[in-house]
Amino acid sequence: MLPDEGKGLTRIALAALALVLALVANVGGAAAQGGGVIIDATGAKRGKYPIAIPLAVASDGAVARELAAIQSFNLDVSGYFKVLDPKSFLADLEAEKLGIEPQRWKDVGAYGVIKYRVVTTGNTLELEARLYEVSKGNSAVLTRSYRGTKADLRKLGHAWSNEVVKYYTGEAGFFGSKLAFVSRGKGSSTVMAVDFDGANPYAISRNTSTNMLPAWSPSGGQIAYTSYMRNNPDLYVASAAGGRPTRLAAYRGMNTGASWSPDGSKLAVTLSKDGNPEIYVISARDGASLTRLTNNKAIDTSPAWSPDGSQIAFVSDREGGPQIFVVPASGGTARRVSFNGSYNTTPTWSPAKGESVIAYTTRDGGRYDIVTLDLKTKKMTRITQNEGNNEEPSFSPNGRAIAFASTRSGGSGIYIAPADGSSPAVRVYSGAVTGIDWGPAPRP
Amino acid sequence: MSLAQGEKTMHLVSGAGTLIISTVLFVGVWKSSDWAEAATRQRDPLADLEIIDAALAELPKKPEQQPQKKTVAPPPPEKPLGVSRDEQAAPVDRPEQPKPRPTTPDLSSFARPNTDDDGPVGQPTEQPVGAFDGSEFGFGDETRGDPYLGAIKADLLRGWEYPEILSDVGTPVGCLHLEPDGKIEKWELREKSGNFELDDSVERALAKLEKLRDAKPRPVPGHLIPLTRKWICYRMKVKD
Repeated sequence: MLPDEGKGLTRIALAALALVLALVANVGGAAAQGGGVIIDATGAKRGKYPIAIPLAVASDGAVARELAAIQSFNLDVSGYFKVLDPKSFLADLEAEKLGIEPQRWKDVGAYGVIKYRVVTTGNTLELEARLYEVSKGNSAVLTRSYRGTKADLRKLGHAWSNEVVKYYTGEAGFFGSKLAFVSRGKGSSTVMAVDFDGANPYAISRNTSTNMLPAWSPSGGQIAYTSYMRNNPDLYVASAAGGRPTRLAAYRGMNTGASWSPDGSKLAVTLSKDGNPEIYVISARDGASLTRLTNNKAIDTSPAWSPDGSQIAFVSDREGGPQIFVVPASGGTARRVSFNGSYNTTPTWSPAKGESVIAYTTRDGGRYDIVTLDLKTKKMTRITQNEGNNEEPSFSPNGRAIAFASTRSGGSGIYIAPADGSSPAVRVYSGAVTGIDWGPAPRP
Repeated sequence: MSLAQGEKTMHLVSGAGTLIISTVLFVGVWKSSDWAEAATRQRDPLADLEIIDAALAELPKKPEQQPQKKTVAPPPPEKPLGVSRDEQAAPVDRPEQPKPRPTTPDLSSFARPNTDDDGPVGQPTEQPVGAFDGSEFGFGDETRGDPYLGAIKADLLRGWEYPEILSDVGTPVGCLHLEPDGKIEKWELREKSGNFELDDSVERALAKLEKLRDAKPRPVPGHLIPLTRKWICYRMKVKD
């Protein structure tokens, strides 16, 4: 055999071998790719919507920073959103201006982006805000323009945040709502109101006596509270802006713990006019006693009207320690609903639609904590634990958050936490406080 | 051209020709396989997967047959004797017999009026579960399925978060390949839901699962080793 003939045969053999190897490899690959099993996996954890709020460009710097802080705080405490850290952003904000390059935001894990421009001219403030969903490209899904004075900055920021929440949930947010509370001083206590985020506190009661247990009317225009200004714990109603109150109920003994009916026409109160603290319904117009709901040797107090107006929760020690009971608002038999521990007080109802949830203060190991209880499912959720004393909860107007008084190590004051206990509480007001009541949603 | 040169050229041409044919065959076979696979995927990305209710991946064993008693077939009936057939005879007209009436009784008077909201009973809403009924490991919901694949599913769900304010329409399918040592060789979103956020959340969950399993791999048990050459897919549904 010639040497070249051998080379030719070798080439043929190599080519054939390559072909065989290729076929084997391909068959093997196909086998690895083919077949398998498919399994149903149901049940994602409830997560938060990642949203980016980059600092505005082409704006008044200080005002833009304040507006970014307002929006970030609002969306963070709403319970729906996770506001992304601006340090992670990759987008060229100067080039983007009020638009977005979607892929840049997808790359940092944002599903939504808020862009805005705020310009001040003299005392006038103009705000243009846009919301983008990165999956929907570079067209804004929500655009709003606002105009006001410089003093309106917070108000406009809250209005925009409410629009964002409404876009996603169909429900109004609670930004711009107010909290009423009692600030405790030496020898006196004052009923006060403050924006839900702790801004703009002001006094409702303007006397040097003891004032306590404020309750917003459903319209938000009035606040009922109990005052010793005439040496007896009488019930007063004042304008939500503060000022001279009207005495509504001055029965002998206690006139305390007012809770407005959803239509604002009646108040559930604790009266001891017949010798023992009992729950009554009185007229919100003139304080006339309408219905006595409880008749018991025990102490019945702290009434709270349900959002649908059909029930009233209250505290009674008729079975030993104080526990939460619920009675029909028209009268009837009360039923006990709290069964954890030996001390449960200050019930309040969630206004969330379709829910039947109460929050209350419970004593646990010598400390006081906030829990929620779903009256339908009996599911109890702990909102606070091992962080000082936490008392007197009150739901936000949409039921998504709870405000309460706390003496935790981070400092005493009013704290806000998601009502599902999904993230830690944040302090919105510092000081010795009690009697928290969250007012209604702001009017658009 | 000398004879030696001619022979050399002939060998070269022959070799090159063989190489070209081999290459063409090789590429043809390779491509046709790729195209076939691509076409299969385009038709239905899940067509080659077997649906199982829980996480079982072993074919059930056929139950052993009990010994059967031998039976003898009865003899065929004997034809009666003395009967003849006259093929020339005219056919006899027989009066037509009335057809038997259906024997189902009329129960309409017993029917309950349909006042509830339930519609007519339709197709079952659950996917067929195939042969994998979990009987090997128990029939209770909490014990059904292979514990190894069940643990993967639990880890996957633990790392899956989806924003509650978004629509949960769609059921993406995430698939993974296991290595025998329990690490995840690769994963992919085999079928997208068309909902960017939902698909993204599943991809993130798969990436988390890969990280978790790579950090703490659990070797694949012997009876599931055949699965390491197949896709293990999870049909992801936000809630029931």
